[in-house]
Amino acid sequence: MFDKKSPLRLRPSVSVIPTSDKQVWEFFQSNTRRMKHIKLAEPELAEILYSLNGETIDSLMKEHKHLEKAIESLLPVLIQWSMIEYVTVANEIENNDNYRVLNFLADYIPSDQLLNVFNNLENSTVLIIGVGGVGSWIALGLAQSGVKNFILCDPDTVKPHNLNRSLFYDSDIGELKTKVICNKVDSFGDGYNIIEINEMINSSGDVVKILDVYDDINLVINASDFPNVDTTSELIFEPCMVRNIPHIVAGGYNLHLSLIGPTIIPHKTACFKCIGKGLELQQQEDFSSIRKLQRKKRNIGNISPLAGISASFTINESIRVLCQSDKLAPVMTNKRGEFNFLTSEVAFSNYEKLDDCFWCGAKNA
Amino acid sequence: MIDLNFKPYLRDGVDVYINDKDKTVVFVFLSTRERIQLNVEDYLVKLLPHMDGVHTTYDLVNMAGEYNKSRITKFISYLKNKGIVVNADWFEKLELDGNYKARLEKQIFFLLDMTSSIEKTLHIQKKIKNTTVAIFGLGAIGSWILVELLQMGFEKIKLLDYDQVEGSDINRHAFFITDNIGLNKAEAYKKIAKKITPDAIINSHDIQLNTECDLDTYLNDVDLVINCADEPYIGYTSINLSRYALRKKKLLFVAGGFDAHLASLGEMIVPFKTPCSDCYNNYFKESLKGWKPIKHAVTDRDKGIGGLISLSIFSSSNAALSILQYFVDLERFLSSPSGRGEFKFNDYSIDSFTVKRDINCEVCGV
Repeated sequence: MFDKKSPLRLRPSVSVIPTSDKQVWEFFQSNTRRMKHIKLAEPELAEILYSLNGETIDSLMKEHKHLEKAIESLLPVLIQWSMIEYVTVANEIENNDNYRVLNFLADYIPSDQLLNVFNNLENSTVLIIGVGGVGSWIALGLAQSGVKNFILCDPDTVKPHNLNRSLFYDSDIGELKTKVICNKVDSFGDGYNIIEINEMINSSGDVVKILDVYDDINLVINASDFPNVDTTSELIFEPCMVRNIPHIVAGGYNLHLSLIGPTIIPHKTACFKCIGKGLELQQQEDFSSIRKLQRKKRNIGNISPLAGISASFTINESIRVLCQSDKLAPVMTNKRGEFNFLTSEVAFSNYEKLDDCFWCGAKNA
Repeated sequence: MIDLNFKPYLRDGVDVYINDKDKTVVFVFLSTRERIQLNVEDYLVKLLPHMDGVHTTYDLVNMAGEYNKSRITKFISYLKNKGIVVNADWFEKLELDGNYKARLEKQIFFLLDMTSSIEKTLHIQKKIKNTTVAIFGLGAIGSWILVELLQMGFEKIKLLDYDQVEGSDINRHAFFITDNIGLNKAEAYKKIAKKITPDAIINSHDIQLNTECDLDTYLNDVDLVINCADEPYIGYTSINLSRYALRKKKLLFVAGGFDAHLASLGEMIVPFKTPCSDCYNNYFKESLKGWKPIKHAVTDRDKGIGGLISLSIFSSSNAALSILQYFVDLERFLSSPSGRGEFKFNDYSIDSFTVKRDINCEVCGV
């Protein structure tokens, strides 16, 4: 229910712009570049909204008797649309070091739910498999966005050739990657919990062992590309499906385009197998009478900006999953994307749950 | 003619598809997606798997039979010219300092994929090493660009910022640590930059970019200026820099932070080749005509603005990518349209605006 006695204000990041139609006003959310055109027949009502700064629904209804009904019905809608906010919540945001993340999420999450949703994000536990080229960016990025609990799985130490695209320093060479990330996160402030696992994931059983011990994981991110991201995802997806844990195939380098991997919400969106089959169908025609020369141990190059771009998509998706709000659903469900670094364009392809899939098919529905 | 001791190595960045039916081989360059299709006789196709850097050209000739010697050497010579095969020890022989090379191995392989030429690859990486860069503004965008420049092998960097690190910068800065709160950003991040690359020459200056700032004092020896200074507004601070850069024929990159710090794709300004900041300003003044927000009810809005670290990373990665593209292939860089873009968090689409040089521009017009 809406608190009619609680002061409201126009959100500082929302602009109100007159349009050529005198009765239509543009409400622009500058954080996310989204807008709504709202028709307000009474100019006085528009003025109430764009000068809203501390009034309550009750006080406005008293002051503008003839607009009583409009105020009572419109303001709750504008809270729902994240155009206006409760001043008490705004004050709490301003006093929080995470005010940028909170204000950003507030473009989606109405003022009355915002702190609860941020709480979901902060208290989540994320398992990141592989904290190298893409994983190091993801782990630090999520920690800097408010996530407090991590399980980092990587057996490797930092080597000189990692430095061109992982967030490690020259002085970190020789240290365990998980240890380095752990120390960096601790330097962000108090309250972080990080568990390090320095074993190689060789089988699904290895993943099962981790998930059995830590049963409060909200999200698994696969950022391990050895030997390649498809092989490692193959090991990770099944235990996640069984336990109903959302998982993200984090970008990896795919034919020199940055792969934007799918987000999989078990039994709700296309699973790793469905997407794999969909991919096969797309590629079948291309290589029918042709064989590819097989080669071992290829050293494919990589650069820092592509690691950053890949990681940025995974961080976006992780935040969406961890907020657990229907107002902010992940974008990469039933989808795979590629970032083309020659043109800075993104392209997506769509997939669906397949009826004959062991996990998603009719039997399991 | 090819040396018989040459050990051809089929480059890792090239995929090879063989069609046994019509005797064609297709080489696909993974980075650029360029393809070369050849009609090749059987005995040559059979040699491809042996171009592994172990066998010499002489070995390959022996495998196929001496009588095909001239055809085989011609074939290998062709593949070498196209950058499909390279000498197996090209990387070991590359004339770069050992530590630097070890750190940049993956990027050097990438550059070879992009250029198909060892000479060009070496030239590009050396040019990057010798370029002096200045970054104005070490905040949400500038700090991440600094990380990526170091990772790409830039080693001469000036950092300019008047502002201090705050607790809330946790949500957006590379290198954020609580120990730096209250310190000047340029000074604090110089120390961390030295940890990333101890060999780098980094200078820091505690100054604000404004109209009173004597740019030449700081930028005289700089080749590339990156502007991430958004106080009061990036479009405004860029005008001053852009006019200076044009006069001095220096490169300028205007990075991110346009309006509310979100995921913008900024622009490289190549003097008199691409639009300058005045051209951009004129373009946006025209296209945003009539779009005038009403004065906001809340006067102090600083702490009411949102941001996400992923959007900062996206924006700065695009800036770094654009800078790298400039160094890799200037011609291709100049032939692609200039403009600005914006990444939309809502659906992960990118809006782009193509901007042309304004012929009436008072600064760069002809």
